[in-house]
Order: sequence, then C-alpha cells, then structure tokens
Amino acid sequence: MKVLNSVFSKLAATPVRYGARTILLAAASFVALSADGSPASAAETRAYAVKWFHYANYSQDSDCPDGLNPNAEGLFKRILEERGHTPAEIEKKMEDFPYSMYEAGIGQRGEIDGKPANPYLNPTSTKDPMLKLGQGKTGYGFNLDGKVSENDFVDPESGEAGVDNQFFRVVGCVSQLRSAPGELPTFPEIQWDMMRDHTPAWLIEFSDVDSFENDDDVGVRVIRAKQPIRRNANGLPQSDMTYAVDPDPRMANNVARGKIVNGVFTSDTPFDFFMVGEAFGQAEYALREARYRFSFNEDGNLTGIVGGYHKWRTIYTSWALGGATFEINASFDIPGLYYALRKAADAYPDPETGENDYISAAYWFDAIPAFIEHPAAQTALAE
Amino acid sequence: MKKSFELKGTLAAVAVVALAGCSQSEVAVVSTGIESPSEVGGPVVMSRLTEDQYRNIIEDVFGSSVTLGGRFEPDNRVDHLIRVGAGQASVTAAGLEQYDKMARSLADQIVAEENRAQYIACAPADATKPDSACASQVLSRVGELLFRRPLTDTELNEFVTASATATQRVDDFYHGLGLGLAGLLSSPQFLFRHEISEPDPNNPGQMRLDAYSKASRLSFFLWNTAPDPALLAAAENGELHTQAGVQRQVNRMLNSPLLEEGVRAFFTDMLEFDRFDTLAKDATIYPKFTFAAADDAREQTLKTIVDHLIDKNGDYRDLFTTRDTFLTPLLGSMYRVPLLAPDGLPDAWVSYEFDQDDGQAGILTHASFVALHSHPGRSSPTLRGKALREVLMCQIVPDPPGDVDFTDFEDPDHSGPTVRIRLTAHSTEPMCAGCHKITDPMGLALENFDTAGGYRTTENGVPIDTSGELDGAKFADASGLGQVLHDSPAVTNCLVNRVYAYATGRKATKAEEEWLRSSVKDRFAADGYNVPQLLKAIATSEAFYRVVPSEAAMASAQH
Repeated sequence: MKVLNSVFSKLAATPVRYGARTILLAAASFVALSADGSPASAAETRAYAVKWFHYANYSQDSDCPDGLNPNAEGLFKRILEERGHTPAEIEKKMEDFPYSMYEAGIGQRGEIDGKPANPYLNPTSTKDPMLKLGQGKTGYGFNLDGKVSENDFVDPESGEAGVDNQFFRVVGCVSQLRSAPGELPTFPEIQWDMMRDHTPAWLIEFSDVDSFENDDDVGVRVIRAKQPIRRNANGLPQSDMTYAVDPDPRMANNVARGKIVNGVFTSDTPFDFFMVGEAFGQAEYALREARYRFSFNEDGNLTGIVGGYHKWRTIYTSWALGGATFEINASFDIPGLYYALRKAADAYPDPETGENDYISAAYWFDAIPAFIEHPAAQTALAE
Repeated sequence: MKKSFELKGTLAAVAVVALAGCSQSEVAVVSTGIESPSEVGGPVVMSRLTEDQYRNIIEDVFGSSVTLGGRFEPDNRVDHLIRVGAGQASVTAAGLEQYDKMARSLADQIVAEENRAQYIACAPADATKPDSACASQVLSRVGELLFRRPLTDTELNEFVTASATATQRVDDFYHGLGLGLAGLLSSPQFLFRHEISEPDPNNPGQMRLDAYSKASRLSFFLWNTAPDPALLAAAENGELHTQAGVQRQVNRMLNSPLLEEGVRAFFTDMLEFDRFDTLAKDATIYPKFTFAAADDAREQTLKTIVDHLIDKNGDYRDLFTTRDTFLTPLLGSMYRVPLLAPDGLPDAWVSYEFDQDDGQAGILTHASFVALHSHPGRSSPTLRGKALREVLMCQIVPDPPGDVDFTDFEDPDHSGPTVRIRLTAHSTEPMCAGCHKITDPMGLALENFDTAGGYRTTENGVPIDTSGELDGAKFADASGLGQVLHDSPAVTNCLVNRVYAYATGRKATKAEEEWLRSSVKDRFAADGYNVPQLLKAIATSEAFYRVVPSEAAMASAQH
C-alpha cells in the first residue's frame, strides 16, 4: 500500500516521516500499518489497537446439561427461601423486583458470629450455593501444565489437547459471563465498553516480520498507550489512529517471540503477562506462564488469545467490589463464584493451606489496525 | 482572529490600525486599479446578511462574550454562490421572529447590570427616567456600526423616542435603551446590505456607489464583515472617493489578519462547504466519517488554502498539485497515515506533507472534495466530475432529462466490479452520453478515493483504472488530473469570475464579463496567479464601484 511502502522505506532511512514543519519528536519513529495481509518484503512491524478484551469463551448449549446458574431473580428467590419466606411472600416480593432485592439487604446477607456480614468481602460468611460449572470439552487456551487431564479442553482453533482453562468452567454456566464463539460475553462487554473512553488503549505490536503467512521468528508485545481509543460513527474504536506508548515499566514486559504458521502466530516461551485494567472491570490482568496466539485476518484485523495462570482472588475482587449492584444488574451470585473459583483453581498451591492460588484462564483479543509512535529507546523489543 | 470595535469607540480605530500592522504576510503595495471602459459596472444590490456575516458583525461590535439565541434563515445559492443568492433573499415571517428573538436577547445582555460598564459609555442622570443624551450617544454609535453608516437624524430620533417611551412605561432607562438596541438589530437597515448610488462628479453622466456603500462592499468582500471604524472614517472624509484613498484602505485590509476570514468565507462559498452541514455517510460502511471528521475535512482544505494563498503568497493553480496540508489525528486515521498530536491536545492540527507516491496531491484529493461530491454509501465519478466542471471551471453541466432510464445502471445483474465498468451505460446510452462524457472521465480519476476520502487501489478486488482525459489533456491519476487543472485557463478564469461575483453580490454583466475575461484575467496571470493581488486588483478598480443600472431599472425609470 502506498502509505505503508513509503513509510516503511522512510523508516529504513530516516526515522521521521513527515516534514520539518510538523511536530517533531526527536528520533521518534512510526510503526506503520501493513495493507492487506500480504507478505512484507522485508522485516516489518505492524501494530493494532485492542477493540475488545474479554474471557476467551467457547460456550455451547451442551456445556450446561443441568441448566444455567440462576440469574438475579433466581438468586433472590433462593435467598428469600433460605430466610423462610413463604411462596406467597416470595411472589409478592418478586412483583417489585429488582428494588425489593436491594431492600431485602442482600448486601448484608452473610453472617459472622451471628451478625450480618458483607457477603462479597466475606464470601465464606454465606453458604456455598454449589454453582454449576461448564462441562464442555472444547475451549480456548493452552496446555499450560503439559498434561492432558479429565478437566482439560481441546482448543477449537489449534486442536491442542490438554488445554487448561478452568476459569472458563467457572463462568461457563453463568448467563452474563458466558458467550458462544464470535459473541461477546454480556457483562464483560459492558465493562470493557464503559472503560475504554477514559482508559488508555491497549496496543499489540509485531516486529521482525518477514512474512505474515509463515515466519520462524517474530516478536510481539502487548503494551498500553497514553491515549484512550477514539470512537467511530458506530461507537466502536476507530482504526488507523496513532498512539503514543505509555512508558510505564509495569507493562513493558508482555513480550514474546514465536512463529507464524499459515497466518497464525503462536508464542514460544512462556512469560509473565501484566496489564493494568480498570476498577469497574478488572483492575489488573496478571497471568503467569502466559502464551499468545494471534490470527491475522483477511479484513485486516487481529484476533487471538492470551492464556496463563491468573490469581483467582484478583478476579474475584473485581466482582466483589461491585457488590449488590453487580449481583443484581449483572445477574450472578458473587459469593457463589468465590466458591467456584476456589474449587476450580488449579495451580500454585499456597504452601500453608495447600489450596491453589491460581486458576488457568484465557482471554480474547479483538484488535484493529493502528499506528504506534514511540521514542527511540523503545523501538527495540526486549528479547 | 477577531477584533472587537468596542462601543466606547475612541479606542477602536487605534486598535484596528494596530492590528493592521501585525499581518501574517505583507501584501506589497503595487500599482493597482485595472482600467475599465465606462460601461463596465453593474446595478446596486440589496443583500440579506448571511449567518456568518451577522455573527461576525455582532462579535465585532459587542465582542465574543455575547451569545446568540435563535435560528437563521437558510441561505440560498444562486449562480453557484450564496453571496449572489443573498441578493435575492428576503425574510420570512418565521425568520423575522427569530431575528427579533436574537435582537432582544442581545440587547438584554448589553444592558444587563453586570455588562453595562463594558458596553455603555454614559450613564443617565436618573436611571428611572428617559435620558435622550445618553440614549442618543449609545444608539448613534451602535447604529453606525450596525447600519454601516451614520444614522440619519430622523432614524436616530425614532430609536431614541422609542427608547424613551419604553423607559417611561417601566421606569427603567436601561430597559428602554435595550428596546432601542433591539430595534436597531431588527431593522432591515441592519439585516440587509443596502447599496446606494449617486452621480459620480468625476465622471459626469455616470453613477457610483456612495462612500458608505463602497466601504460596505469592500469590507464584506475582503473581511466578510461590516466596515470597521477606520473604514467608516475613510468613507466619511471622502477618502474612498479617491484612488489613493481606496488603495490605502485596501492595502490596510489586505495586510490585516482579518483577510483570512474573508478568504475563508469566499472559498467556503465557492467550494460549497455549507453542504457539510448536512453531509453524512453510511456509518456501516464508513465508520470513520463522523461529524468531527467531516468538520476536520472541511477545515483541512480551508487551512491549506489560507496557508498557500495568504501565508505563502502562492500561485492559485498550485492548490491542485500541492502535497502540503494540515491534518488532525482523526484525519490521519482517515488517510491512513501515522499522525500524533502533542500531549494534551488530541485534536491539534499538524502541518503535513504527503509523500510523492501517496497519490494525495491537491485539494481535489482532500476528503472535503471527494466526500462532499459522493453518495452516502459509494463514490460518484459523475458528481465529482460535475463539481469539477461547475465549481472549479464555471462550466455548465445540464441536468439529466426527466425521462432518463436508470434501469441498466441500477440493474445488479449489469453491475461490474468497478464503477468504471458500471458507468459504461453512461457512455453508451445516447440519452446519457452527451453529458456524462464531460463529467465521468474527470470523476473516474478520483476513484482511488472512496466516498469518505479513504485511499484505495482496488474495488471488489479489481485494480482501479484512474486514467482519463480532460478536453484533450490526458492524465493517469488524480495527481495528473490536478496538473491538468493547474494548466487549464478555465480554472483561473473561473476563479476570477467567482471572485468578482462574490465581491459584487451578483452575476457579472456582459460588459463586466468581457472585462474580466481580458484585463482582469491578464492581470491575474501577470501577478503569478496570486490571489491577494487579484483581490486588490478588483477592489481598487473603478469598475468595482461603478454603478450601471440594469436594463430593467432603466426601463422602469423611463416610466
């Protein structure tokens, strides 16, 4: 493409594309978009801005043979039953749902030493509701532990067996958190969409690419921008915007190398992934032993996953902080999810309790073409 | 950059003169005044103020802190210019209501207790009673600025009397004064530009604009606003009836920062940028074309024009070939070029030079042109070609006949992968070919740009062919088309005609057309197609101020 070719050639010679009258950032360089997925003629860099980031779900109808977990209405009815209300009383209360749910003080339904307790901050102050976990055998992710176990999945894209994604089981039968392939999980979609007008954009940058079809050694990193995304006329992130890189060192290490095979990048060596989120969603995304897999799509966009082990209490906290509002509006049993996460956690046992502190998980990226501007010091990817 | 005349008056002329000295580029004082035969001239025009002119005058007189609350009558385009259409516009009853509403709102702000010190230089002896001295002082000063001439004694007396009557009714001088101000702002003498002619003592038997009409014509031409106190003073002391005086004022005005406003206003009119108000694209297909992007696209072209023609004193023809422009990050996204604004200024403008092989050269390749002359969901070589002919070359493209058969063109089975193929029907159907052969070849050169201004090299997987021919001159792509336009006498001649029509507010008479086609065009070429020099050449010519009644007026006078 005319833009890429000219910028690329300029990058090879001089770092700044445009003329002297423009704003000048000393030794700044631009990472240009490649056009249409065609192989680059020399080592190329390509950048994307993340449009969506959410749980990498692959929910199917058969995943929940015993049905989905109760939504907020079901949760409220259960709580009222536990409190000894008659069916007639429950029916009456349901007439004014959801306001009656707030009035019922579900935010203090826990009990510690006989006294009401906040069930979100003290989830064990409530009984384990035994939420149903997803039973499917197909799910996105990676074989993190190198084993093929009963609870593992087969990845629908790579075909890899032994995929570890216990987090998908936890959310798999929660209506607002599950999603079929190609769909967005309802509540995470809302969370991500609400935060992206003010939260700095996430960027994905590929480097040292000789061919976006097949290449043995390619670099990738996920970084944060200084600016939030701009929305287009459809309210979605606008493609081909330019972003400056946030120099925050906490997010400078999401770096990996790997291969591209038939248009799909897979990282080689596990690494620790960390991105700052947003309190309304998830404050932090911190995956140990992380891997990437990305596909360069025909429409110019990028989709893929990052998988690894996440501290499950961090995930739980993001829900717990939402309290009764989340529970009612997002329609899931928050203390119940605590128990589910704790039971499903499958890595890094606490040396004292023996309980696993981490849960295998995978998250989905959907990204659009972008330009990245970064100071010269950051042009080289860390090996 | 706007100025405020300040109602307190005495500082105004000083401020204006000072501003005139701080221009972005000095327009050299060269010999001006293109000679013209005595028949070159035209009738006087009465034009309704456009919305921009109204706003500019209000800001000039009252400053930028006042707000307007009301709707303006829609402007009307005649002979491709709103400026000409203004000469044929009236005011509807609903429109008058809005003008009255705005007038009262403005007046209330002026006389509000917290603002009086800023706007009113005198104080009544008793704030509960009429004070004709103070009211006269305020109303005469404001009236002169609004009416672009001193109020007559009769007019002033009417407004002062009306103010006094209102004061007596409510025992409040300022309320009465406010109604007087509202009256000025609602008056046809403010809302319409009245040109008055008088016998020309220097040329017995001929008519000329009177001094205040000259001042108005000059000011609305070069600054798109009412005359400032210095120009009004030049009218009052007879300076505008001398060639030296006119040259002095024109030089001052051309060296003022306000020239930019005037040039913007002209090109906004000529390039039909008012149509951006209702421009929309199919968001499903072109999600980047938001209202903000459309605003930026319009501004990109205007900034490019101002930079090239005023700041750099450039050749007008180079507007069709220059790769220099200004972009915002949003436009960078639309053109798919990396562009970052300084921290904290996400929408800042950045000067930018497209690369030689970007395919982006000249204002024809700006999103403003290609998007404005396209459909919401697809490009249109026909609309673009028509705009090129009519807007930039002053040529006429006939409307399609009422019984044209669109069946073949709209039949999806006849569709080809590219628009060039789909438009084959235009060139083969006898009913269509005659007109489309003068539009489509030019428009097809711009097919690398989709309807939202984005660059593309293929359509439905097929490479786009942008080659064509314009009046015998071949081109391979949009850059080539730009060069052809650069070299076309029709383009420069058209600008001359448009500038003159804009300046006078009417279509040129036959005698004027002949004069424009020869003397003015030659001067424009000799000056290197420098637009400020063209403006000066017209503004300092006798023809510009000569009044030659229309044939209808003559016939009417004889009866």
